[in-house]
Amino acid sequence: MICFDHVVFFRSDRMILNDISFEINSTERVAILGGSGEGKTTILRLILRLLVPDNGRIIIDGEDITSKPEQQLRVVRRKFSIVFQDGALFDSLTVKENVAFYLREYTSMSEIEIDKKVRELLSFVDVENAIDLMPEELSGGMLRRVAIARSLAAQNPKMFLYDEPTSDLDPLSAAKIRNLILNLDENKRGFIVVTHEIRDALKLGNRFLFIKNGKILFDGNKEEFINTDIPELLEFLENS
Amino acid sequence: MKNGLLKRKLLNLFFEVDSYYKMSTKGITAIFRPPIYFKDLIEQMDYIGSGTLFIVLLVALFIGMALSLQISAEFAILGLRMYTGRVVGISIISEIGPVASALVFAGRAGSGMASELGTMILGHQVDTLRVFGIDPYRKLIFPRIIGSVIMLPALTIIADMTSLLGGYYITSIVNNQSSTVYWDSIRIAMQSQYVAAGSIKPFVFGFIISSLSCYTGFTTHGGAAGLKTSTTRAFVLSTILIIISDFVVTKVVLFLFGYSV
Repeated sequence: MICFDHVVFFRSDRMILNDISFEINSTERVAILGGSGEGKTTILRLILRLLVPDNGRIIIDGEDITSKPEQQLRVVRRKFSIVFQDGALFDSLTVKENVAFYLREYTSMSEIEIDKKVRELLSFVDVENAIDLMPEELSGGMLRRVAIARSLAAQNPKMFLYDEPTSDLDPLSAAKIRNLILNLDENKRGFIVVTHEIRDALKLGNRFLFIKNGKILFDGNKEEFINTDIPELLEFLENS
Repeated sequence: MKNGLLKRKLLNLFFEVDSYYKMSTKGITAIFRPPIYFKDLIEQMDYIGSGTLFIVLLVALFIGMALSLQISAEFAILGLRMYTGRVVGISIISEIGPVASALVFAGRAGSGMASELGTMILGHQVDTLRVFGIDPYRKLIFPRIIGSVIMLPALTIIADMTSLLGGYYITSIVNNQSSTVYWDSIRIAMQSQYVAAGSIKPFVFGFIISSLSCYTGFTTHGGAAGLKTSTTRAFVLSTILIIISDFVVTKVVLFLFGYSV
C-alpha cells in the first residue's frame, strides 16, 4: 500500500532522509524506531504528503503522490488516520467541538446525530466525561485519546499513523493508549507507530524499522529485532 | 566566500518574498472559492476589533491631547492659536491617526495572529486541517486578512474622532479657546487630499499587518524560541512596512491631487 522509492528529504541544509526505500502493507503493524530528530515523524508527514520529498517517489495504493496538487490529496489522506504527538487538538475548541469538527464540516448530520456520534466515540476511548472541557484542561493521556476519537470521527481509514503515542505519559496512561491502539487493530487495519519507546514498539509492532542518520539500518520482524547484531541498533536498545 | 554568502542571502530573500506573495494571494482569493468561512471571519473581526479598541482609544486620546498641547504652546508664542485645530486636524486625520492605530494594531492583533498561527503550526493543528482536507489558507488566512482590512479602517475612524476630542479638551476646555473656532478650523482644513490619504492608509496597513503576521506565523519553526522569533518578526516587519508605506501612500495621494512635492 505504501511505497517509498529512494526518498530523500532535506530540512534547511540538513539531510533528514537519505535515499530510503521500503514497502508497507495496510494490514501490517509497523514500529518505526530511532532517536530524536532522525526523521521518524518526517516519514509520517511524507506518507500524508504534508511534506514534499526532495527526491524519490512516494506511492500509495499504486498511485504516485509525490507531485500531486494539494486539492487532489484529500482522497489519499482519507485512507489514513493520524494521531500526532500531543494530540494536535484545536485549542480554541472544546473536546466535543474537536471531535465534531469533521462531521460539521463535511456531513449533513443534525446536531443531535453529531452529539450522539461524539459521545459514542468519546465513550469508546473512555473520555466521555471530558466532553465539555477545553484541551488545556486535559491530561496528556486524555489528549491522545480525544485525538484518536477525532480521527475516528473523521474517516474510516485503511491504516492508522501514530506519532509518539505514549511519550511523556505515566505508565498507566501509556498502557491505556497501547491497548486502545491494539483494539483499533481488530478490523485488520494496520498501523505505523513512530516511537523511541522500546516497550511500545515490542507490544504493538510485528515489523520494525530502525532509522539512524537518515538511513534505514534495520527492517525485520520481532525475532530478528530482538536478536539483532547491528551495532547502532544494539546501542539504541541498550540505552533505551 | 563573501559573494557566495550574499548570493545565498539574496536567494533566501527572494524565496521568502515569493512564499509571502503566494500565501497572501491564496488567502485573498479564497473569497472567490467556496467554502467561505464567514463564521471564522466574524470571530476574527470580533477578536481584532474588540480586543484592540480600548488600547486604540487610550492611545488616540492622549496623542490628541499631547499634540494639541504642544501646538497650542508653540502657536501661542506666534499668535496663531486659532490655527491649532487646523494643524491638529490635518495631522490626526491624514497621518497620526492611521499610523498610531496601525502600530497599536500590529502590536495587539498582528502579534496575536503570528503567535496563534505559529502555535498551530508547531502543534500540528494546521497539518490536521490539511489531513481533513481543509485548506488552511481559506480557513485561517482569509478571515484574518479580510477581518483586518475591514476592522483597521473602522478603528482608525474611532481613533481619529477620539484624538480630535482629546485636542478639543486641551484647546477649548483647558486653554479656553472657542470650541467653534477649533471645530471650524478642522472642518475648513479637511481638504480632499488629507481625507483621501487618511482613508486609504488603514486599508493598506490592515493588509500589510495581517498578511505579514500570518506569514511569519505560518513559517514558524523551532519550538518556543521559533515562536518568539516569529512574533517579534511580525511586529518589527509590520512597523517598518507601515512607516514606508505611509510615505508611499502620502506621496501618491499628493501626486494624484496635483501637488508637486
